[in-house]
Amino acid sequence: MPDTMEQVISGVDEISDNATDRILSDSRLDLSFQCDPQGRSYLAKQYYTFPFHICRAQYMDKALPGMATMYMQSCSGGIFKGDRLSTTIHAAENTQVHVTTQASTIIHRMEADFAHQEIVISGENGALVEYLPDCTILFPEAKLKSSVDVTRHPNCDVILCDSFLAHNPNNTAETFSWFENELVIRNSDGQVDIIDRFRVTGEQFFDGEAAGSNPYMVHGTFALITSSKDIDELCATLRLCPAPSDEIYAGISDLPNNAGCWVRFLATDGVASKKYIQTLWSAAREALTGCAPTNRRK
Amino acid sequence: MSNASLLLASLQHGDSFFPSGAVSFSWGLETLFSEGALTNADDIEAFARTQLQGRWAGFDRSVLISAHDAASLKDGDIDELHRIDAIVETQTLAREMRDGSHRSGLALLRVHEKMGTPGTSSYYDDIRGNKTRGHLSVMQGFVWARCGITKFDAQVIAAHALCVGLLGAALRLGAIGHVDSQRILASLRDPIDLILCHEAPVLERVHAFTPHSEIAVMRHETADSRLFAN
Repeated sequence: MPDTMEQVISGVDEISDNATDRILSDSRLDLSFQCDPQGRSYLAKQYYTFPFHICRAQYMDKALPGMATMYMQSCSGGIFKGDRLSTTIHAAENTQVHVTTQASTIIHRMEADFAHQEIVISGENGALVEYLPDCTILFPEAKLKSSVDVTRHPNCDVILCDSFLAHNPNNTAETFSWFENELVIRNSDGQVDIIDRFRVTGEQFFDGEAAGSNPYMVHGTFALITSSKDIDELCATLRLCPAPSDEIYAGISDLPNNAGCWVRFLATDGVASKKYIQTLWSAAREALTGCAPTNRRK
Repeated sequence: MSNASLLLASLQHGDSFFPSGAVSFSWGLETLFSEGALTNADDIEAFARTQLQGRWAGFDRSVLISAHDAASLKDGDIDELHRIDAIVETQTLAREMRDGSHRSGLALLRVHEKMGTPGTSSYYDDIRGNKTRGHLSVMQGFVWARCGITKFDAQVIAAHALCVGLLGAALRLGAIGHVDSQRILASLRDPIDLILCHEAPVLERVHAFTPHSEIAVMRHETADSRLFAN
């Protein structure tokens, strides 16, 4: 096997310079939400092409009945080599929007090329945006470059998570080739508050940071971006969320530039991860609005 | 400077005898050791290697190079150093990782200020005036450039200092002995050499992946007993 460092570098070399630019692709999903005079958020504009698919906005949150819930769906059965997928989500003033996926997204084997997906989110004054997709599942030889770029008004609150699971359906030692991920949070003046960028090979992930193999198959990030609450109190709230030590290894801290608080976690499997995210989401929502959310059916 | 002078300068700045404040930081090692995730010399060696490969190679190294470049310009590009500092702040998400980088950078700068290293006094004023933060890798590139240390040597010193700092922390925690620490330090030469043989990422694309230690640093914030600052 090549050295880990060599693998990282060879992975990087496969990413062309063009891949770092905004995706110009027909595989697009554009969602724009507005708030009606009664305070109900609605999908004002939509555009999507294969493989994206959406249905109508759902109103299923008892605590926030005007919140629009949107399930992003795919007709293709996952992400394949050469896919270039672009999603934009715009939440206008005072909207409440929850965007999630129908299920986990599988990143399939790629002998050549790679897949690239970007999600661009913008939230205006008074908006509450929740972006909580299910886990990204990286199959053997998967190569994925992914980014979530959020621009928010100082009075816009954002709850988001981003997680991946390394999985081999054949139960062999094969694993994903590489995964490059970026989360950027900026304010409406364009100033970047945080960047979380990592690049990892499957071998690096499985090796972990001690001599034995890494027992955790899921890596996740959960962030609560807000300027309206005391950050230390939010951290304390999230620290109360149950994280069984045999399934979850998690840390909670405040973000730079007073952007909010965040959680990095490792989980033994997708079930533990999903349960933990659900708990974090519920605590974060309650801290922001005073009421816990209604679970989304999937 | 002659070859001997250059070597002597590198030895001075890379020596744990140099009062850089590095002894106060474990970068997550204390938590991982106390939680039983790192238990022996093999674990410590793997941990140090992943810190080099997973964070230093893709992040700190690029920052140091950029800072060294900026500081090497005539009169130094202070605005650029501030910009680099802001990038490090933005991309260091865990609080104690941020604070540790800031505090150790400040400690290094203070020593150089007292030694009379050119330009360090005004940069210290900038930090005190909240114009910038003074993160460790930025300060390493800055002060070592001002001391006439080459960019390559600065990278070698920084990688060495990281390893010595981690192994020193492991030693004080009782995770390894003196012989183990020297054996591990020697074993880390090849990974460092391999890293230095490759181009560092450009500053705008720096990246890091060390989730265990990152989480450990975050858990350290609320740990009951703490020997180190992170």
